[in-house]
Amino acid sequence: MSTGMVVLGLLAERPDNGYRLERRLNERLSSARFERGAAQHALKRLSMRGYVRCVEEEYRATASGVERFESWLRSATAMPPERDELMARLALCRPGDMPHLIEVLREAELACTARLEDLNARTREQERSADLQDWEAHMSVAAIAGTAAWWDARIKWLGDLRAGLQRAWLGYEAEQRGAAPPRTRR
Amino acid sequence: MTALLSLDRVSLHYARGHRHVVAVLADVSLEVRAAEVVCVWARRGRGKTALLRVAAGIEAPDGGRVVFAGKDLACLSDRQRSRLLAQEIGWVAGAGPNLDVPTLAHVAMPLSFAHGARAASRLAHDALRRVGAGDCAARHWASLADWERALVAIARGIAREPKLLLVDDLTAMLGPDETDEVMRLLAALAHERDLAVLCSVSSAGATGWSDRFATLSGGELLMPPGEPTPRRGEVIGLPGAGPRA
Repeated sequence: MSTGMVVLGLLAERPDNGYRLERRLNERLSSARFERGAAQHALKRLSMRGYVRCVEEEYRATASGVERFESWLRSATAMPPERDELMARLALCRPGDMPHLIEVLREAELACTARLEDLNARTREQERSADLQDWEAHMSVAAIAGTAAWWDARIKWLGDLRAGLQRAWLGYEAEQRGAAPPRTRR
Repeated sequence: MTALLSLDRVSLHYARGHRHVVAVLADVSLEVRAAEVVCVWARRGRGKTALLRVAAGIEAPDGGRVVFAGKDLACLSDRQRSRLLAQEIGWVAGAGPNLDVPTLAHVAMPLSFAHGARAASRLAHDALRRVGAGDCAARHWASLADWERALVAIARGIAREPKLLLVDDLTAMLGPDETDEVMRLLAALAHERDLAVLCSVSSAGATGWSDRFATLSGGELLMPPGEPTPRRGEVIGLPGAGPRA
């Protein structure tokens, strides 16, 4: 996960000093384990690139910094998707980013599904061409089941994230229209 | 090849009390052709069974069209839809018989009306033998293992020789080996009988023998576009495992 982008996102929300920023970083993303001083290191790197500037011990995101953060927030995820990186984006997204992130999650889910489909097709092809003994066949199934379970967990997780974000977006939209948020479940 | 079953922007909502609405299906589009197995894979409680019920015409969607063999299910009368379910659409689920009867009678039951008891028994025997559960014929449901029950359920589904088989999460209780066997059997049946199979599954392991599969969450069905391209001879690595030593 890019600590720099998370710090940049926190500064895009509001300017802050180094100490408070470190605290906000750990509060906002409690599931990730940041090293001590991670925010300070990130601030140095961001300052060098011109994404952040310091005025009277208070750090602010520059216009190019905000632009860089937004493009990271809306970019495609790594493949396979990385938990902390996605969670960071969800933690920092603003209502206006939600449709983009829903699309990012949808794309990631589709890409994972396509990988699994490809894996299935290749496995079938190999099984058909090989004359497997009982034990070999069992081991082959076990290996495939292991890989499939790995993808299973990720794809279900992506689906849950997307469904949750869609509900949040519907609620926000209704609120903006002045209507009562839809009482939806799941 | 034209689709035997086609769902076009189908939506379905369930009211939960006076205040809650669950969007079970939202603009779901899906096609199933003859001789192919399509899996819909989702967690439990995400609308898999609802999708199959809509596909079978048991439940009418709130929006969209369901077309089976060129017929729009919404335009058919209840009687016509029932006939479709009795003759052309097979429903396969893990639930057992309500009566304590031998497996053969359970499989033969839906056939007896159209064929008579003797012919129904013969057809049921054939179906049980085809799925590899011939030795279960005289046994009762309670004495069958989970994977045997899955085979018997498939036998019951194919006994009437339907065009479309709807399989509702049959592998949920099975281990990887049994799941693989059951899905392999469904794929073989689809190809030898020109049968369209729409199968709901709750684990990725069950998608191994499907021709295509989609995920379902938040009411939305996602299916990767295009057919996968098998690449012969490639080594399948576990994700993140790195190169082999």
